[in-house]
Amino acid sequence: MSKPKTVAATIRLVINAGQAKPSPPVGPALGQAGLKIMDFCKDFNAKTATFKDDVPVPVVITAFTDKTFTYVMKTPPASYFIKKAAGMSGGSQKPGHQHVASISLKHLHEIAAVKQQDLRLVPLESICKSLMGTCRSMGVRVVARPEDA
Amino acid sequence: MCSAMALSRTLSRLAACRRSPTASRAAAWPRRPLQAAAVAATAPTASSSMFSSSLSASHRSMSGMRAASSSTSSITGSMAAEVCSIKCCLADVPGGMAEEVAEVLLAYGAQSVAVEEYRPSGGPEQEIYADTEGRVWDRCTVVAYFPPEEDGAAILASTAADFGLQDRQQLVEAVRTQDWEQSIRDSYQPAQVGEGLWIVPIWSQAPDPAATNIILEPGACGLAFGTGDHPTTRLCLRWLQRLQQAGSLEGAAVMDYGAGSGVLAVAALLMGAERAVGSDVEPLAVKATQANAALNGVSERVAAYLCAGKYSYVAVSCCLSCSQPYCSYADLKQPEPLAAAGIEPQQRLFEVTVANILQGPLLDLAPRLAAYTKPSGLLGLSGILQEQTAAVMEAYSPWFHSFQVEGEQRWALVTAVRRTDT
Repeated sequence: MSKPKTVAATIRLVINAGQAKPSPPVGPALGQAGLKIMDFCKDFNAKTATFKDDVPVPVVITAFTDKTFTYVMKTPPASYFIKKAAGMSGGSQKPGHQHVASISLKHLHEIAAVKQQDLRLVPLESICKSLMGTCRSMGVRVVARPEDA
Repeated sequence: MCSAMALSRTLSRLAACRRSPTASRAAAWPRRPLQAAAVAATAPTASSSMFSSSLSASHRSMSGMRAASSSTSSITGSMAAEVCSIKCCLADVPGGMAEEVAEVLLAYGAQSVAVEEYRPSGGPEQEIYADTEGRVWDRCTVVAYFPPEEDGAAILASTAADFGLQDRQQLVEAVRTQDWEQSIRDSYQPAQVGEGLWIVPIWSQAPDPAATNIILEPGACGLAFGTGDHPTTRLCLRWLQRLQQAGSLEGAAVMDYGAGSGVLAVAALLMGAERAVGSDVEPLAVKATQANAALNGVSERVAAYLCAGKYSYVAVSCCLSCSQPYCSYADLKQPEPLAAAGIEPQQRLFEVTVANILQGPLLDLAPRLAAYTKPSGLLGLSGILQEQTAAVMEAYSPWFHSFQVEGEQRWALVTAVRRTDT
């Protein structure tokens, strides 16, 4: 009998765990859709209270025309894991030409296992290959054994 | 407790703050030129290049955009609310590409990307229902917000070209901090923290004028922490209230480390402390502390210092889940902020030290916080989860004793007394 809700917008953002605030990026994006920003911030921060703080969490919010919303959280970007695994603070200035750090295949497999939570239909090997591409674009070398890293 | 000054400031801010102006309204509203001038004042060359790039990029540019660029060039103004984001819109993106465009823009540095329906004026609405999974509209508008330091317009233009959408309308405008603050105002109501202790947002009336009312401007200076919503803020405030009832705050000096909005420093002063010092690694927090102190009439008793901060990654050791987080820390290799500011040693000692941060920084800060606290002085630490209290107590036990833990939801407050012998 009641009309089903219609979608007004889908919003993608990346927010550090436990750090949703009304300031950008959350504020302008949610404010534009007329959503209650603080409700989202509180809910998100509570859900990510168990996370290590400052882990970047991609979020996809579905905003409905009646100003309500739902959202899902995804695994952090691959670049974040690679940076942590390689112990680096920034990417290479000249990816492909200059390597700033290296990680081992073992690390890559661990990261792929985590990312597979978001990509359940994709085989692990394909994820690994795509992670290697990300490594290349960050100037991170992938070595076969941790000792070589 | 809205003083006339606060009320008029709120009204003028409400008046100035509307949704980002479309160019056609630029002529109608007398206040629009001031906002346009804010854009011009903060980024004169950037804004003119933004408008021109969007004009050249799309044939069907809105005629109003030309009006806006001419009005910005003719107005000079000094009032500027800070530009916090650049909003870049790409209209009429085919549904099949929209999500990919959004992901690409995010990868290139957009803070957020929204996909909406593209509805040329007068066109019919295409409704997508919540129960249809993953369907997008046939024609979408992609709205990306970039941080001010990124060239959002150029990224949008090159991304559009990559997808073959370079002839679609592109709209670029600056978003000022106040535009969206408007929408969060309603969610802030006066909140009772404890018996006779309230946190009242600046635009509200205190329900109990006789109580201790801490006036805060939530979201001021871009900060959200310290609005009183968080259990850790409440834990610390109730602890301060207990100190007040025990008489420990009378004439005391209080250090609020990691001050955020300064709520704890201000509360301590309202409860009878003589002076308070706030320190934070975030420059906005220093500003917010001073602003909130002024709101409560205690600004001459508050000093706020910026602490040198650093960001650090710590490499993964055995597995990803047990590594330390990427964190905003005080840089302990830099001189301690009060000493760096030339404060005398006597003034760097406090009867009460409170730090509501996170476990990571707190563990490293033990020596510094111990140095701030007078012998037999009181310490309050929060921002830690119940399961983290043991590690914190161990880190502080060389200098403190009589640890006590209090919890709310999953958060904990650890209190202690400074030893006299170390």
